Amino acid sequence: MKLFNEKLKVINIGLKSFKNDLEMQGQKVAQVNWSPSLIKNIELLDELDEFMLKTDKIGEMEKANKKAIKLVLDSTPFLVDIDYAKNVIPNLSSKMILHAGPPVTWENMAGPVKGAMIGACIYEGWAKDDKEAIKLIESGEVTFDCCHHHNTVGPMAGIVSPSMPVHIIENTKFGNKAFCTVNEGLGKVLRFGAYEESVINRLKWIENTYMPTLKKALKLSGPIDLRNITAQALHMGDECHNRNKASTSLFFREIAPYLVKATENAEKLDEVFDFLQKNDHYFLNLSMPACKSCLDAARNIEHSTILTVMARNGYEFGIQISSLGDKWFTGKAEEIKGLYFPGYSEKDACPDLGDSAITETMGIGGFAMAAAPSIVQFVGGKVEDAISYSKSMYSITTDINNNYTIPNLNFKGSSLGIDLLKVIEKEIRPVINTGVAHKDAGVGQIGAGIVHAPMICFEKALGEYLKKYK
Amino acid sequence: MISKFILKKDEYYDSVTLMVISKTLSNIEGVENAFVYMGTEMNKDMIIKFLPELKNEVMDSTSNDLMIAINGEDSLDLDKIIEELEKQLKGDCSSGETNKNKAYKNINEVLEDDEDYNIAVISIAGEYAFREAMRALKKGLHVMLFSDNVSIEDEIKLKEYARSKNLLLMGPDCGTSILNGTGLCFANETKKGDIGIIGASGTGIQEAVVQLNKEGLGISQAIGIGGRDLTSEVGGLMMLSALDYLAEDQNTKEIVLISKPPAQDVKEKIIEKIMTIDKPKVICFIDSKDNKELPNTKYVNSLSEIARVCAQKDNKLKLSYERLDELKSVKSKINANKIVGLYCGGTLCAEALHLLRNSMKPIYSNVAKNEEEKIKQEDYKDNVLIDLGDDKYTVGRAHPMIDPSVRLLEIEKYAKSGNYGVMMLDFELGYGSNESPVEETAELLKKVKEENPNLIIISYICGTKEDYQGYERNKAMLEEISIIADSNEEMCKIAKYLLNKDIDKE
Repeated sequence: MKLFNEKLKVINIGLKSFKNDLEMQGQKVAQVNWSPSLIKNIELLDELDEFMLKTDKIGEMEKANKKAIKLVLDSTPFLVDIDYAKNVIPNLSSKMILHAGPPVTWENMAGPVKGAMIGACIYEGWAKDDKEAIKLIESGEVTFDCCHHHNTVGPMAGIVSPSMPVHIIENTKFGNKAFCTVNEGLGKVLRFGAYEESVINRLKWIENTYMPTLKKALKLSGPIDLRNITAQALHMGDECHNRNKASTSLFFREIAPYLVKATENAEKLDEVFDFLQKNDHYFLNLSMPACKSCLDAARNIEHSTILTVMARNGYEFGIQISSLGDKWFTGKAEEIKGLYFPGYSEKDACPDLGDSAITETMGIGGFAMAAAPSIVQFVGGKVEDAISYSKSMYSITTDINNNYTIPNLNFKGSSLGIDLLKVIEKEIRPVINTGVAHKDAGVGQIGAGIVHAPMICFEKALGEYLKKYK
Repeated sequence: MISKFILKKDEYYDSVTLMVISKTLSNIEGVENAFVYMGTEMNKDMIIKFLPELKNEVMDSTSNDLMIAINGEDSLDLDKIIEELEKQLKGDCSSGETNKNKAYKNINEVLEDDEDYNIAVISIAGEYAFREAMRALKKGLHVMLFSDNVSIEDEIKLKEYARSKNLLLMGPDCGTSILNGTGLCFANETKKGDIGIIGASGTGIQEAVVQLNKEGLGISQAIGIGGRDLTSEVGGLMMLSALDYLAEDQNTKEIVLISKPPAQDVKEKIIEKIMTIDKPKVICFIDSKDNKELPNTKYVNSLSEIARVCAQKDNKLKLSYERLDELKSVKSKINANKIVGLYCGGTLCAEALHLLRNSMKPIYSNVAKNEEEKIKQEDYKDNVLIDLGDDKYTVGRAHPMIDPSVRLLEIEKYAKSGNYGVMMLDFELGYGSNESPVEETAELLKKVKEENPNLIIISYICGTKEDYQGYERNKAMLEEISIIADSNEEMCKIAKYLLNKDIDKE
């Protein structure tokens, strides 16, 4: 018995006092602060163990994942144009509103989402006020659907209606497109469910002044390389989900000369520049569709376990898997752990909300927290916590993305390709940085923090995958 | 309510840092509100809203200045708080080495960082322990399974798998092991020697180790196998493995087995195995009958007898002349004839029952297997031996070896009843136990002795001179108030003597 002659090297699972006693005796100890398995369905794990023994199936899966990753890595997202949603978003009917996250009924919609839907009806001119808007929605005259079903992504409530301007992002390598509205900025905004006059007015301004200006500017500048901006921004303290200052500044620098050329009207230019200057998160609405267009290239690859979507609607969190197509696997959206602005606390918070988790699905955002240590202060952590979050995400992803390198990790490429099986095996859930919305419509952001994708989504997806491929 | 405002001109900090600091300050007891923000209009308005009395001071701030506003209970030392805050603003430069004190979420995470581990110690709730133990075994780790409430089916699964991979599965409900000189969970510090112990009980192993230590004898290994290993169902799976390991271990020259009596079929398997082992063996199956004679094997009747046999001394425990003198002087004080033993160590309680049942009949215990010895109701009138580590007493509290409070209550109750002449108490030193096992109890005992001068207290400190709590230090705390026995067996013998029982009769 070898152990009788070896120094003990102990993994202590449970009472910390045992660790202290072992250290007192000069032995090597690692402490596991154990908590019950995140995976409730133990039979599923047994099924997975069996599946893992099927080397041919595993081979197919690995090949498929490699293929999926290559498609994502080769993708080249460019901002090519801006136009009315109704002109460019596929299958958008004339009285349809798109929302963030997986499918949800009107009754279950979170406060901010409901508020934003109402705002959209008013903006479109379908309703005079909230009462009329609600009637239209409840009667079914106004319908709604997920952004993701239309190659679209939206932050927070993520509401897109036919007359809203949307950025058009083209993945030029493969030709597929993705769409996202223009970020309204701070204060009372539609994406947090506000629909008072100032909100509608701003949306109208975006439609009537900003869109034509940007449209002209893009014709003059040509397509804007979003992969390039993202890569630079990751070297400048951004993670392009919750921290977009650098990327927004880089975008502004690139487009500004053309905005000038595109407008003769000094007053209009003033308004446009003022709008851009006050908006720290403008690039979020470019970052998201850029990620979406890259990940869409990897959809529908048989046997692949790579995640193509992570999205939330304030009620549920949903994921999609490459080999399982458009199927959603959902679970209750979690509460965000973080810092609240004065006067607010957890009890005021809306659960996790928005399509912005597409950035984490792409390996930036929370996965690249090491690039943006200031974010981790939101949970009272230290710089090394940001680094360790990023590091732990490598264990649930398939590959490294050398297009996006992270200085604090010695310029290691960001993690890429969340693997369903790895999440289950390691019981490590994808981490997401996010803003916290007030649960009531229209109040706005009340804090920011960190949240995880619920394990039940992965359990359900795994069940489906094993059913399909066993 | 008091409040204070400080303005730091031209000092910039980013909003997230300030938000964190505000939150930390707000959490200090007695602080009502704490605001640490740059002097923008919005922030100024906010402070004035909550602390209107600071309005004039606040209004002078500009957006380049740092505002610090705090209010709270009158007793708050606001200056101190602000001093602390200034330190934090200077920069929490401790980038800190978090890896040493890093806490992992599961075994896989640990092994990904570093593969070099050889054993897992598991003390989580029983319903989850099986999975973690199985995972550890699958990763090639030996397992010390301290957790109880693991089903017998799961125990069998674990042990069969462990044996197939030549790994130890010590437990479930295993309190003590000592491997290569390192104590796991509850264990006493002792020297290395050539006696190997296999035990189905925690304090049983501890007492054996302590007594051997008193005879100057050390151990090679002490392998805990869990309380159910020798049942028919489990079939002695770990006992048999451990016997093989110690048989082949160069450093083990003598093998000691400690347990309650095994099931008959298991006993036979053990005997079969023992017949193949040349090394001298000592078997302590407390309460065992029909001990088949085996080559080079001695049966002993108590844990301390193990040490006497290994030290090749006389088997029987004798009370020394000094001891008898000590006892004669206190014997006359006794005016009640009942005995109570309040035990932390379950096996010691069982041993006491075994050693005392004939002389102290009728005697009751919560560790009794015989119907007539089970406690019917606690009415503080009978001869009774209580294992306070039993589930009934540990619901919602720590084990008495860690937290003395439950025993303190019982000590008072039994003393007050006036029915008892003798009270026996055990104290365990070593890893796992309380940092100062005797102190709190000794405090209480002083009071108890004053109020009940006719109650004689006998203590036994189960510890070695090497244990970190300090054997002599703890002994000194009991000196005036208690007779201090050198073993659990001696404690029982002393009790018999004091209550006029025949100390030579078993």
